[in-house]
Amino acid sequence: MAVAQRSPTARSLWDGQLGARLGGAIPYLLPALAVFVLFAYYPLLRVLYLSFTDADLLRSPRWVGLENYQKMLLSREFLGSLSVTTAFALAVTALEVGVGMALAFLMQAKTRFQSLLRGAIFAPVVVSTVSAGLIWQYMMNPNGGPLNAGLQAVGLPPLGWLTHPETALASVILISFWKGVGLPAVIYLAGLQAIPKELQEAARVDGATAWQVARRITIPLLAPTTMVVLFLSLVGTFQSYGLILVLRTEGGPVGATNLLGYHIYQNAFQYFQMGYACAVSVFLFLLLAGLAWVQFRLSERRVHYQ
Amino acid sequence: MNSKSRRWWGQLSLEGLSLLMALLFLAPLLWLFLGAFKAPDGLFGGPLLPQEWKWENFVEAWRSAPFGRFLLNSLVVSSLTTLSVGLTSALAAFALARMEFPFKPLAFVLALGTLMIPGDALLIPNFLTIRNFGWINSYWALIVPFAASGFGIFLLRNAFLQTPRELDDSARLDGATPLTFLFRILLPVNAPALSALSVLTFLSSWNALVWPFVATNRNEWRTAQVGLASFNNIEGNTNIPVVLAATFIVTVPVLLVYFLAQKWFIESAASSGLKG
Amino acid sequence: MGKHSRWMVALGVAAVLGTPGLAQSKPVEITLMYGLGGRLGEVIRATIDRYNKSQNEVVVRGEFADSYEGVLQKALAGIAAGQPAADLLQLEVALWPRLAAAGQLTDLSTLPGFKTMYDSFWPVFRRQTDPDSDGKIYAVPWNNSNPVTYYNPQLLQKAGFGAPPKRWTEYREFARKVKEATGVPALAIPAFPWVLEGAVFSNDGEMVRGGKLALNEPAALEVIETWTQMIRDGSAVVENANVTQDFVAGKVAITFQSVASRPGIKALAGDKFKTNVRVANLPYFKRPVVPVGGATLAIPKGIPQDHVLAAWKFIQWLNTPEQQLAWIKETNYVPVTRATNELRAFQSYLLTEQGLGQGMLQLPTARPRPADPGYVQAIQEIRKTLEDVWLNNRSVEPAINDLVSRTQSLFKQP
Repeated sequence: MAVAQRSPTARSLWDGQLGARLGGAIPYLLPALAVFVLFAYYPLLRVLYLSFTDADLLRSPRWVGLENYQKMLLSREFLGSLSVTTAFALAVTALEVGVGMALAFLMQAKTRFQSLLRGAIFAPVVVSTVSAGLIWQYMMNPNGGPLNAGLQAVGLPPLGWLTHPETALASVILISFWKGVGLPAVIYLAGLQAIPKELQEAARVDGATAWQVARRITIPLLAPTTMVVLFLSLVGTFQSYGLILVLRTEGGPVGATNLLGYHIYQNAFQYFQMGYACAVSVFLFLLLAGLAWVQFRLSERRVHYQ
Repeated sequence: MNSKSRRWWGQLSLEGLSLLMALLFLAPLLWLFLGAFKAPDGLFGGPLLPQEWKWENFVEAWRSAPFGRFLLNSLVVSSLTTLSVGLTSALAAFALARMEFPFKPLAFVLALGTLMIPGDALLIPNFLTIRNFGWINSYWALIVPFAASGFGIFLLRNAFLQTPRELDDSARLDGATPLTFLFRILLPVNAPALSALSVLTFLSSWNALVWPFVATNRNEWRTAQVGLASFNNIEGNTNIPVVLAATFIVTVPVLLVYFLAQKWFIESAASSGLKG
Repeated sequence: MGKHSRWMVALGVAAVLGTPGLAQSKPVEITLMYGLGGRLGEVIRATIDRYNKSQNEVVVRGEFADSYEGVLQKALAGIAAGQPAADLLQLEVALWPRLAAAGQLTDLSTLPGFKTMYDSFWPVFRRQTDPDSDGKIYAVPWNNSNPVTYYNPQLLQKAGFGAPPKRWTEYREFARKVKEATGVPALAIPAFPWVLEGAVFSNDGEMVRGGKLALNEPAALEVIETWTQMIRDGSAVVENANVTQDFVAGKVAITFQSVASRPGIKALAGDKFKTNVRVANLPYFKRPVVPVGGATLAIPKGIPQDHVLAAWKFIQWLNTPEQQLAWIKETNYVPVTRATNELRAFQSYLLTEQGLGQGMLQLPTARPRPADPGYVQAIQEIRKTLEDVWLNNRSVEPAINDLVSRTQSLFKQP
């Protein structure tokens, strides 16, 4: 940004030689846009249409206007699911941004365990969700699983983990974090690698502590990466439900792990309520779009200050 | 002396913390790894180490589905998807980061918006589309719908925006065309971002399950995750150690890709003298 | 459409009545889409292989679709595309009535040899496949099971019991003693309402009556109260996903699961299976009743007639006593036809291990699960309510009343 302001002519460097401006950009955009239109936006329009119908995918859909949306907003299950999903998404996102960045610092540090650490943080990302479900089902067994054994060894009371309404969501958050933090950590690591070492070294020479360097120089320089991670985490966690399937909580106990993605899945493919599932999908899409918009406005402001 | 000992302690705590975090993240996987060698009755109740190392679990896992073909399919599909995503993202991100044109914000929003569409509702419309194209049971069905990624465009655009524009100036003075600039200079400079994108794309393609099931029904076109899924049934009538062994088989190739990409992006970032 | 299907029939008839030589040289290839993996998937593939080798008129190709939901997804996609996903679908018992009601399944009752086969079914399966008794049959039972009591005789022994009680009314006292003597909960009670259905039916109650859930009627309330008391005094726990592991590890004395769970329990128990696992009848209140569950085979609408007939031949083959026996030996599902029961090999197989015959013994008192379209969704609400009562300590009656009133809209006819 700063560079662009210093030399405004550099901004449109590659425009002139490509003739008409839109015409110049189209060949670059077309491959991606074609895929998006065909496999995302065209079906999204169909979803939008179906959300106004009583589609069950068995008979031809009948127009019902806003009925699905009305049903959704009045449904206790949907509202419960929305609040569970929000808590889940915010918690996992906060963990992925905070701990993900911290882990990236650690992964960058020159230690004899560097490769081991880099492998270890990323390994859970690679393991299939089904296996992750098996592992954690076992780890979190309230009846003498390793986690409760550990708690009891240090004199703490055992927990119900996935089996109790009060701890089930926190357990799913923990598993999601373990399974997912490798991605933001790697993105942060890539961001760290791209920061010129000279900046940090110069500051160290000037007598700044490592913490000061991180806080004043590195973390602000990572702001664009944080934007990426924040955005991806939010968008991903609001939709995710794979773990719910493999942990076999079926959204429970008492709806404690009923994520919106699961709510959509159940309605579409178990309850024959495709129209309703489409309405919830449209809602989720709009919610995420709104969140992204807010995030971009906020980050734009911050980048300007900088 | 003082600062030297402080640095020594600092290094020691870094080493200790690194080891601790690595172990914390690996501990659950250790159970998976060791479990792959156990008999079913020793898995949940028995000691952590297998009483008898059952290598035959791996043989049985390998035999229980055509894993050779599945792995090959996964490799082809994931590699080609990664390549396409890299290409389409780089092109679009270049236009978004370096060109001025009407509707630019709209193009960017369209790219980002794809990340926000809940996937389940799209299954059936997309099934109809690929069916109309005659792509059921083909690599096309598994690759083309994922050949572009809003995330990729987002990531590379951000990286390109951060790359100093002085590079453009000097390249232009050397007479480079936009495409040579993009592929010879801009992308190599942004190798860390590109390799992060490649790892993530490869991974999500490798781990995809729902769509490959919908888009194929013959083993010739199915992927390794489908092989893994074939161990599940609702009655619990499954040899879990064999499932763990199969997980192992399916996971190792991706870890390998990760380590290669990681080595590459760290080296390319370190060796690029082009850094501003 | 009419003209079209008439052509299809004509073609089909031609194919069937056509020269035998032609039929032999060109077998009809059909696809079977199934949703069971693991050992069961292997057994299905082996069964298909055996059939293909046993004759040369039909070739069946199995297509694995991940799970019952996966089969449904592909079936729905096929309907949307106007081309059925497969010639034969494995549909979970709760799912096929919706497809049938929408006219998406082929009526099997007019196919050759139907009546003989249908008459050989256990009554429960005749009811299951024809809930409205209109004579039209859209699905035939394939893999079916009912729940039984798995118990740990070692733990029961400590409390001086040789076997669990037959009736739920005796369970409270029994459970208290087992818990006292062993320190572990006597039983794990599932919130998923399969066992509940059996208990309610056995108390002369109903799950659905008069267009709503009938769980607030005295019969059902008695069941729920009985269970809740055991959970509240600590002699029972709410079943969770670890129940089989806990059971074989001796951390709970009794679990109620499908007869088809037996191979899985056996694998986890290993050598201890013989000494630590026994099977008894599902407990009841007034008279023994068990619910059946599982999946059926159905032929979608729009399949060419020669494929329909080929698929039908395969179904008939699956229902022969010999094939039933082979299937049951591998899977521990229950036989669909009574003829299987008359096989001497079947009877001697049941004697090879304690409790193997329990599922079959319970068949005469079996009832289908509720077939109301809204019930699939109501199951999740029942589950949620029971968890709320048991884990959050809500009182039974208000919670059940709330359940009944909030699920009422599910049972309105669409």
